[in-house]
Amino acid sequence: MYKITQPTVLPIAEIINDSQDYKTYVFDYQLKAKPGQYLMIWLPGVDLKPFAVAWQTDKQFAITVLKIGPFTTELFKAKPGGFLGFTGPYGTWFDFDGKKKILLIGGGSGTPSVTCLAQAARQVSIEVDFVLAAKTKEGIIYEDWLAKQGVKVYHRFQNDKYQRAWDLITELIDSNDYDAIYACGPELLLKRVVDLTLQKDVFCQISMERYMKCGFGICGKCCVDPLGICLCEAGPVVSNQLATQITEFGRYHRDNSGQKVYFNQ
Amino acid sequence: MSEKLEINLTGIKLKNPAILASGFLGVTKASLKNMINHGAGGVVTKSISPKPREGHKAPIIITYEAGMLNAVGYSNPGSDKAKEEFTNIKEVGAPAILSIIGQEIDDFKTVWEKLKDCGFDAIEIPLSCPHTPGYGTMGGQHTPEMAEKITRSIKKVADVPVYIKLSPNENIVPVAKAAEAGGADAVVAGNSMGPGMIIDIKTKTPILGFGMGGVSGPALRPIAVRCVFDLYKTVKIPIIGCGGVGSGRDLIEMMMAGALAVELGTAIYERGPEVFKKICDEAEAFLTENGYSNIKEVIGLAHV
Repeated sequence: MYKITQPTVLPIAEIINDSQDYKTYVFDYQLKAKPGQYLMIWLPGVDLKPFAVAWQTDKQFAITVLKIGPFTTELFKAKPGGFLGFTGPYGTWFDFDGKKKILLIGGGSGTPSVTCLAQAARQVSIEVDFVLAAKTKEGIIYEDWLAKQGVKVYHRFQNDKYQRAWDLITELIDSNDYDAIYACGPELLLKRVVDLTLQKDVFCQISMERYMKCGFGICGKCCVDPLGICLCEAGPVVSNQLATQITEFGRYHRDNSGQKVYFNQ
Repeated sequence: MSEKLEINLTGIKLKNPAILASGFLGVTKASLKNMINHGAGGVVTKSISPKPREGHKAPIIITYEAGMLNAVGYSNPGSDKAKEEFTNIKEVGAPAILSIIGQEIDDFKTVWEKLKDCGFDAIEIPLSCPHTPGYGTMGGQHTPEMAEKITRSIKKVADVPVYIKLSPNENIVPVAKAAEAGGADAVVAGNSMGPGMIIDIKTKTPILGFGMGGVSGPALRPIAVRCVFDLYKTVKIPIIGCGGVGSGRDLIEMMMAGALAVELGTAIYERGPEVFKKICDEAEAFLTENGYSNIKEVIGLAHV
């Protein structure tokens, strides 16, 4: 029998307003995704876009959406009971087997990918520190939720002494003995995390974003240089070592037409 | 892989006849190279148009019980950026074929003149996309008249072989003969068929972003085989079989119908990029078990 890939359509069980720019969509469905994996979310008749699984229980799962463009603007109009579809879960996941104390870094809309890892790690009693990186105080999401999971939450708006989240991150890494560091967020932040963890020889995985349009390694939009592999399948979670083999990492990505777009250094 | 699978396609030496079809991966030089590292005998790029195109809204690819529907909509970076991307294309390590699309007859020439120094081994012109307005069957290009005009136009400027990719839907023989008359060096039979449509019944909405899309995979294979069979009897130029090939058995079948080489893409969905090596291994095992010394021996064997 041919493997069928068509969206599973579900009513939205609940919508949580995380902030002015973020909403969380909850579905009554046992997903069994691995932390770091993503779904392709279908807004019928509009488009299909990738979103990380933000959290899951035996009965529910959720995605958290930053209002950023035409698709998310349409998605923000959805109401509880309205239908959304998904395919997946797809991609690689965070490996936390055997870790004791870990640092998680979530930047902006990348945060609700690492939250799923925080939840899974706390379920097996791993000590979790979590840095929320955001441009503004209003961009801090999941603070209370993480605290409830027993996660120690840090962000620079707690203390005037930090100008940038990076100052806080380096201070935590210098003063703690983490056996793994995981991050998802803006690529230039991820690049710093990768460089630092390689230098310090700490286990590190990041979740990397590229233009993913099909989710299963066929359309080729997320192929990375110079390996030519599709990040929708070989990622989004990659080790710091693999990240350095992807020479475009921290330099450019490709848009929907395949043209290179360089990151602002 | 042994020499048993080597073929000569319009003067181009392929180490095996399994070529990556256009539209699958193939947006970047690195991804083409990755397919060749997985055993592809040659590769066709994603189709390049004069200007950049974003393509259709997603979903662009879905699958069903009998195969795949796609409506990618010819997303590509346009000929200027494609030239940068594909410079020194020979570095990929196997023959590379540039797929060119256009709406006007001169568009094909325009794209080739931009990319002609990249080092491509051949040009493929699809006149047969079933799901992009202004192009292929939706642009009125799949007629004998247009096929001959477009082929003649690109042949005037091309210093490499030109392959014309046909639609399995209808008129494949007259369109192929017109392409041959226009100077085509080979025909590809063929593109995806249809278009088809799948509707989500909960939301009453066609799933594909474009609503409909070309059908490929197992559902298409017997139709593609019959197209190749018909063309083998009517055109003298080589035929490249394309449609639903997913195993060594399918490759042999397509060649027995009359194909000199095959293109494949949908099979990557089920068997991964490794499908190229697997198909070649399977085809070679068939040759050995059945007493053929070379894959060329099976071409056209289904014709009495």
